[in-house]
Amino acid sequence: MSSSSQRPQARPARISPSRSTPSSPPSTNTTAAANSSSSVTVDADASVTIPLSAPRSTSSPTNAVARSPSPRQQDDDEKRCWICYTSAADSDQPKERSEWKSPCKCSLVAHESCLLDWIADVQLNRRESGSQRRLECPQCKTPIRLKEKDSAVLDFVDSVSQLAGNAGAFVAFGGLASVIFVSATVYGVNTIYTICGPEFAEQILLNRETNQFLWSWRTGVGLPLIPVVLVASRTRIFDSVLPVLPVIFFAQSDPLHFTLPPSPQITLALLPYLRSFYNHLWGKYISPYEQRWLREVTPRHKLESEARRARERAVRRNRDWDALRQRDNAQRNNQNQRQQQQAVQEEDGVIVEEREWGGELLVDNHNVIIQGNNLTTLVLGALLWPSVARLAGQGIGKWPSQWGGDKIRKWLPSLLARNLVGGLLVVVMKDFISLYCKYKRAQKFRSRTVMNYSEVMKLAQHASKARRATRNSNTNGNAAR
Amino acid sequence: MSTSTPAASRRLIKELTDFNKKRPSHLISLHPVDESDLTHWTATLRGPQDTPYEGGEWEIDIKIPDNYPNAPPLMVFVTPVCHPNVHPKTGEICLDLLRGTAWTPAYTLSTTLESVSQLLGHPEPDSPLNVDIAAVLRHGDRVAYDALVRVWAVMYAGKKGTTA
Repeated sequence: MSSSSQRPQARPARISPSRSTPSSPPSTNTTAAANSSSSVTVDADASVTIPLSAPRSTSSPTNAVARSPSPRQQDDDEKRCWICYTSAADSDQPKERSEWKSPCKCSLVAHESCLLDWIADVQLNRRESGSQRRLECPQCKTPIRLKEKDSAVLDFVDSVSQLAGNAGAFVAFGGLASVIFVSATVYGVNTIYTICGPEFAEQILLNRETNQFLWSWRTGVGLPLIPVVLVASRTRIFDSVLPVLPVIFFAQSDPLHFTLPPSPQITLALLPYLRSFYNHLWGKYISPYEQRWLREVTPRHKLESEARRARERAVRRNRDWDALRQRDNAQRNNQNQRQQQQAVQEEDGVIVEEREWGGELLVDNHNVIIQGNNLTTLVLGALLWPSVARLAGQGIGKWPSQWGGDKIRKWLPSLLARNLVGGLLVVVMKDFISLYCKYKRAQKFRSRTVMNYSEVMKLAQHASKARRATRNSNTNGNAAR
Repeated sequence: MSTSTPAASRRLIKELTDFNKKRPSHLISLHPVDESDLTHWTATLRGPQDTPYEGGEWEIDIKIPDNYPNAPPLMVFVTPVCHPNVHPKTGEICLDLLRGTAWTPAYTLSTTLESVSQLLGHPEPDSPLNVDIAAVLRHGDRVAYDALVRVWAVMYAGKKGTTA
């Protein structure tokens, strides 16, 4: 009751809605009916129960505002605890009841012991259910402040455990990410050992002086990147970045110092360049044939729709240019400026739409799909490449001497060189085999004719006759035996 | 029979005397089932005016938890009531006040029952316990809703039928 100066301002705001509730529905907002009805009841609580228990009470602000003109006459005996509902005047009031507290700016007063009991209960609920219910006066929603001995340790532990609870999702995500990171790194190390062989791998991975594993940012980022780069190298999305990456991560020391049998780092760093060179050659000399054969086996309607899309795209591009030109004109022609600009704006609107639409078309023309691969085979193929290269390298290493195996081994002395050449050979062979298949399929399509039914019947008769003949000869043979 | 804590029983006795001093309009009766046991109460709710519930009387069973008034009382409709937020079989009431999330000791049995009475007039079909009547209401068929409520009130809650 110490803050009586604040009360007169706070009271009308709270009490006026509760006064109006009995005559009108508590809330027109039906979507929050449960909530609104509950908040109304708090008001009703003040307006119904407090006047009842203390009809002449002046300590109750409800009465003070609504009925009594003199809110000053405060009678301690008429105070009533909003928690235990006993008033100071009650005869059964035990003496051990603690002092009265008014923790907020509204009329509610309570025994300190009741308040503490309630607060303990709320806090227990909060800890158990993790609900974020604030400690506030149920009527005026003023936060209830406590004076208590601070314990830095307790606060710290509480906030940490709360953080841990909130961070569950992040921790789970982090766990998943670290699992992916670790497996990618292990795959990277494994790949280096597979491709380079133990000695070169150790040269790459281990510190030269201490001969221990060197965990630097290069290995930390580079090793888990290996599977990513392998997969990316199957598409052309990262063509601009790919050649730079290995130089950063593998050329640890003086990359310009070039020895004639190139160091393993340099060799690996040159691989992407080799790949682009190979892709370039393939695109220039072989792709035209490949495309022609592919087109031969594609149904006509698909070709036609593709051609139509290409034409539309070209038209759109032209129109873009037209629009740009028109805009230039508009800026130049001062007489018709306004009209022209309007026209350009309209055109711009149309073009923007079409550009977006065209973007979608471009996506399904993406080279991933042109290559005819689906995602799984692409990823698997990329990740299996090192092992296949290793197998091919071993094959080269065990090539019989009479077929020039000795000469090959002299040319490719190290396991790394043999593995790399083996891997490259595998890639080239794979490409050419698939090219050959395309050619053969195109040939097959070209030679295709549809058989007439009479031809089919004739063939079937031939076949059955032949079958009967063989069966007869078999039975004859058995009988003879 | 379980006995309530001294603080709870003192407050409950207070509430009972308060109720007997002045009876609020939404309640016909409110008292312990047995005078010696303050943990089990019964109340009779009057159907609120200007709603299809008007004229009906519903019995509500009230169980007082040990830590009352820190925890809300358990209230269940004994008389069947047709309402989206009341379970048609068990009588369970879907009201945030009774679930403890919005409960504070400032509420009494009487004011809590007033909330229940207001819930009758303001159904919340988006968190239904009675799916069928909630669907009727959600389709905006107020006539059918009112008729169903009235039929249940006549059948169970002692409401006088208009034609009989």
